[in-house]
Amino acid sequence: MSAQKINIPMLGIFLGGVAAVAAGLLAGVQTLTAPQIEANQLAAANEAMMQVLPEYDNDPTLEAQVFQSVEGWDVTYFTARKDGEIVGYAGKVVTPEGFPDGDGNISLMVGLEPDGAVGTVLVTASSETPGLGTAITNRKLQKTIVDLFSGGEVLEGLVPNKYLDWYAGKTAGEERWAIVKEGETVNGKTGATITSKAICGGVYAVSRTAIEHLEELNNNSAQ
Amino acid sequence: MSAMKEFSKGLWKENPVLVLLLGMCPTLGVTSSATNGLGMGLATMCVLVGSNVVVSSIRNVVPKKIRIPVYIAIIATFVTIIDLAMQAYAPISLYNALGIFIPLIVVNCVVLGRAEAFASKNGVGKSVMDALGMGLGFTLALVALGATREFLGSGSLFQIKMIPAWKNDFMLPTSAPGAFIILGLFLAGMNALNIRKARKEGKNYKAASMDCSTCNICDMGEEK
Repeated sequence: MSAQKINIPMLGIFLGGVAAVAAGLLAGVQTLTAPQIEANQLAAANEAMMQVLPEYDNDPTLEAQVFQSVEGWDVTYFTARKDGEIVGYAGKVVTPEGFPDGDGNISLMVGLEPDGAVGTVLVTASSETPGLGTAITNRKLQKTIVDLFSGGEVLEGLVPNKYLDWYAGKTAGEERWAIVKEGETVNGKTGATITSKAICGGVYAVSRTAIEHLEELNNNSAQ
Repeated sequence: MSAMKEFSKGLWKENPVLVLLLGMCPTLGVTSSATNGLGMGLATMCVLVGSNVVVSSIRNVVPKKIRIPVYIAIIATFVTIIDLAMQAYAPISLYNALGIFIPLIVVNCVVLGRAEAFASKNGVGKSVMDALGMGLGFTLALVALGATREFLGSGSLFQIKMIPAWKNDFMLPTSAPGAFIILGLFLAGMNALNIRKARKEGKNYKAASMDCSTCNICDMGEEK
């Protein structure tokens, strides 16, 4: 190696060779994994929809319609059908009224009955304060050590959340719903008023906009 | 038995996180839960093994002048393979939680450090043992940190609540300041143990990471 002359073209060719081998390898791996990755992304996108809708057999993403709510937010509706009959809608909205400490956006997926009444409410993304705002938004299953050893039933699905379950069965009228913090049934939490209000407004917008456009929703689906 | 020594040094004596203080960015960034620590550790270990094998098998062919770019190309290739594989076959929640830290394994100095300081000077067999040991040491440190932070934060381990009555999460250990505090406590504990051990043997303990003479990472192998 002593007194070796630096042969720049050779170095370039060597480096190029290494890069070419690497690129070839990566192209192969990408081709191999691409179908699986695509399937995963689709499954993740549809997961929230499946959780808020009753059983269906069509692809609701093919029957998506976007309407603007009174607040000016875009609400996307997915129509779920079974044997051709409408069994419900999933309304997706992003409300910017969340706690401004994060980015303030809360993404909601709201299951709706065919008449526009609210079913299951799910928060798909938010940046609310852990422990305060997340008490309202969280519906994730929390397994405990007791479940592991008690055996028997397998825990699945959505955890009841009294703040989100408050909306079940409600239909949006002319006025926005009020925040209720006292008593048996509540939709607001002390210490997380902004989050409570944001979700209330978001769910209201989904239900209200659906009722305003119910005819269009039904007609589109009939085609 | 030297192969065994190459393997075991990464676990304790030259632990990449707790002694050499390498790879601090993913260490602090992803260890908010034990699961994340485990995922990150295993991903890094795969890259380490791959890059060490390739680097040591081409060590006599690569021109010295361009060895670093070649190593980086090799490491980047393995990282991208791991990234794609995790995206395809790992749970999507784990992939999302690790996020940007997976592509960033490329610049994890544990990986380049082992390629340059070890694999480029040793045979394939030894390099594999070194990578496995370092990777496992990295993984164990990340899991330990993640488990501690997760348990102090919400009383759970690997997303399973150990104390069912623990209702309200404690935010400090799982947030960024908590990462620094708990890592600091880990390092202090590690040093205390080593000092005690050295004192029993009648020696003076010198923290390896604080002194370049005991650290072979910085030995960049310039013309010798």
